[in-house]
Amino acid sequence: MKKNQKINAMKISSYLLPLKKYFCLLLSCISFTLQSASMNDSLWQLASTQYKNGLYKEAAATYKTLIDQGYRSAALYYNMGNAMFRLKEYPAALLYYEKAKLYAPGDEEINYNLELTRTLTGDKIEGIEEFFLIRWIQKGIGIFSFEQWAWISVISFLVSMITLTGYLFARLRSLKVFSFWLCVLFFLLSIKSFFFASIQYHTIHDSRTAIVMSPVVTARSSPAATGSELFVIHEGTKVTLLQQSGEWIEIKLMDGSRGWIKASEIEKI
Amino acid sequence: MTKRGMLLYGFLAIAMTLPAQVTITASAPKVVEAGEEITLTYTMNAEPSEFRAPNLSAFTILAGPSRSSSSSISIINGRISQSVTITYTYVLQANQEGKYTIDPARITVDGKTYYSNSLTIEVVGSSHASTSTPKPQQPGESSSRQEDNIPDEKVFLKVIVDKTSLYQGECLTATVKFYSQLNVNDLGNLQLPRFNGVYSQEIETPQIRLNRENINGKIYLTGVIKQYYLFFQQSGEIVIEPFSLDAVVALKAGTRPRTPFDDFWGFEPEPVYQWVKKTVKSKPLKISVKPLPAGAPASFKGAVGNYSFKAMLDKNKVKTNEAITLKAIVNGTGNIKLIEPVEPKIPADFEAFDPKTNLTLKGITGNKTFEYVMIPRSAGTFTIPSLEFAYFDPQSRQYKILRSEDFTITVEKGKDDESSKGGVYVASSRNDIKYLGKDILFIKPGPVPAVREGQWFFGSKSFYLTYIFSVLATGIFIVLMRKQIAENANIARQRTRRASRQAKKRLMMAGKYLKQNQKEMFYEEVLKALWGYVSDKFNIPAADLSREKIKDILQNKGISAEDIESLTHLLDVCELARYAPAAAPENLQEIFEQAENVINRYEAQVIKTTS
Repeated sequence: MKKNQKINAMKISSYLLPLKKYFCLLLSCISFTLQSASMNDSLWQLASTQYKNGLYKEAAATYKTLIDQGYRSAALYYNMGNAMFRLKEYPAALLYYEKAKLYAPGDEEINYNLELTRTLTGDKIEGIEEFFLIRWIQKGIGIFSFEQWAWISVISFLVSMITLTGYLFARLRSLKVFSFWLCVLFFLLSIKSFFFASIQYHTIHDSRTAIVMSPVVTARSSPAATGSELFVIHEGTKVTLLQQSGEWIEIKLMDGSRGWIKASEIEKI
Repeated sequence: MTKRGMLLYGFLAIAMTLPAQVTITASAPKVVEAGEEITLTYTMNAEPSEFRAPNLSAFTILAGPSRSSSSSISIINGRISQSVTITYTYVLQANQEGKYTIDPARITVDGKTYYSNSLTIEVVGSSHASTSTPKPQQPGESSSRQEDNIPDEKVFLKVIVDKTSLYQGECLTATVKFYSQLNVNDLGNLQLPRFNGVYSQEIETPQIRLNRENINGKIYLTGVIKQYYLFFQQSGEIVIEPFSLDAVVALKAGTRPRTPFDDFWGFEPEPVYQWVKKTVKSKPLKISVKPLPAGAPASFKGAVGNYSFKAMLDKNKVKTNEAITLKAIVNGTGNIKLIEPVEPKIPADFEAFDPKTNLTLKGITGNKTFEYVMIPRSAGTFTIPSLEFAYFDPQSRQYKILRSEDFTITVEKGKDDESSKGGVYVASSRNDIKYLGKDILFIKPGPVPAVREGQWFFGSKSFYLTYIFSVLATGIFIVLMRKQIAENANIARQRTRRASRQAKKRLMMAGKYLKQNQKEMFYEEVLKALWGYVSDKFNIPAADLSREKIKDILQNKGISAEDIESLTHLLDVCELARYAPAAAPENLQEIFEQAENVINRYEAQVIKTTS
């Protein structure tokens, strides 16, 4: 009997060879990110020191370098927003806070600063209340960023697989039942997290919202300077983008009113 | 004396020695009857060292010059001012009709010479011989009885207007004047007509004072009762309804009967007067009001007269949320009180307040200021187009438009207003003040941004591979361990199947010990057999083997209470015998049989329930 087990173990190890390869890949990926982290760590620390010393302009420039290098994180956008706020560039601050919010929708600090900045700039527009179920789902999705959801999905998938084997190998009936339901639960959690991650990812990468950057913008009824004036919005106002026609873009306000403005007057979140 | 006291004293001395300005005024009635007494007074406000009256040889000096003086000291806000009034009075009489001119009088004050005004006195023929003032009876005796006896040309009220034809909105001066040939005691109960469609502005008139006036060679006592500026708001023939006034006048009731004294002294019989109340009414007055000509400019809002206009901005470079004031000033004569505010085109992005209007007016001349306060809310360059003020000039019969320049305002982003508060942000007035004294939270110390765009875990190869590999690994594991799984599934059954065999094996051992009469070993083996049987048969882990637990499990498995009782009894006996051999029962064979019996019965019952 013992001999049998030994043979089994050997068989397993031979089967696991491709798995080993995969783990090597994963490890190298992590080490790569760690390496690049050490490269931008100094920049990050520099920016923090500059900000602490009141050199907001320099801090903003340093954060901008990081952003230009392609780094994306809630903390980075949040700090950039703070630097912009200190420079009194409220619309830009709003823009970066909104971006930070996309990466960490449930972050209290980001939301606090965002709300504070909103009181200083932008127009007061009464938004239309969405259906409560949609609101709840959006809130639920907003608890984690898409990366976090991705990890949750992967880990819970692994757990569901482990519990599946647990179900199969359990000798006790109660343990079997328990691991079966656990398996189902984690499997569903994995699928849900995957979809949440996907939704989050697309809200970031196919953003349909923008912030008005020009001090005053007059929205017109048609994509031409001759179009009759519909309403006036100010810097810092959040708008939804509908369609583009040349250098004109159709926007929708929170209260539902639509108009055409020049694309150069807004910045996509 | 303190310094302060000295100062005060000094001021006092200056105030005493410095009269404002020396003036000298001559006054006398303008029109008199021949032979009537004329009172000529010279009033001055300083003590003259010399007073020289003009040549009065044309008149008979009945009395004078008599000098009277009065002085007053007033203290206003600690300032002492003293005023002196000195009056020289002459009583003259003119005997010949005609116009007389009295040259200025001359005074000398502190070595300087001042002159009074000159006067003209008109002397008309006397209507009655007597020059003495009438002494009528007390009024009320037979007052209104003879009202009708007073002819209207002797006592009347007249409304005098400066024009009878004018434009709508143009100014008309109306003077209500009272005329009387008779002496007047009292005037009162003025009844004003209703001015329909007319904006009236009363002109401040001093207390009614009756003057003498020559009208067609007759002396009338005249007095201005009221004076109005009238602005007609409608065009057409407009009638000014009569004014009415009650006047109490002295009416000659006849002559006193001649007395022997009169004859003796040769007096004229003294006339008897009576106070009579008469209500005088002015005649209705027709005014033709012309409508304003067509072609009024868009900015015309009913201003009629003669105006000048200017507008100014207090600053044209501001920061956001700082107030700017635009001032528009209309200056001139006309219906200035009725002028409506000019409407500047304030940029939509400015918060504008209602204009503040300020009017300074003297009669119908003055200026009206409109102040527009506005607050730019966002940065940029804005233009306020020139302000326009249009009015109608009735003299040239034309509309005129006055324009200010264009205003360009550069609005910069506010800075100082916030930083001056030490980095504490106050929400602008547009929003509810929610975050008073709140500031943004500090930057996040980390995590250091590590992932670049396109390096996301989500959607990456490793992300999807994790799913695939975990499924594959599980699959392989299951395939490899399938025998074990199958075995695992059977283990429980095998144990139950083995249970009776195992128990019987143990009981056989016990039987061996029984023959050898090894009591202790016998009991141990029996206990092992029983415990092991229950554990294997009912799949109970060894750790859970306790008296209470077994009872519960067996009950659940459907074993009769009787059998449970016999099992526990047997266990009790064996355990007692094992730990206290002295108390052990001697009949070992019986216990052995009982044990065999119990196991057999259980076996039978379990098969029954499972099948």
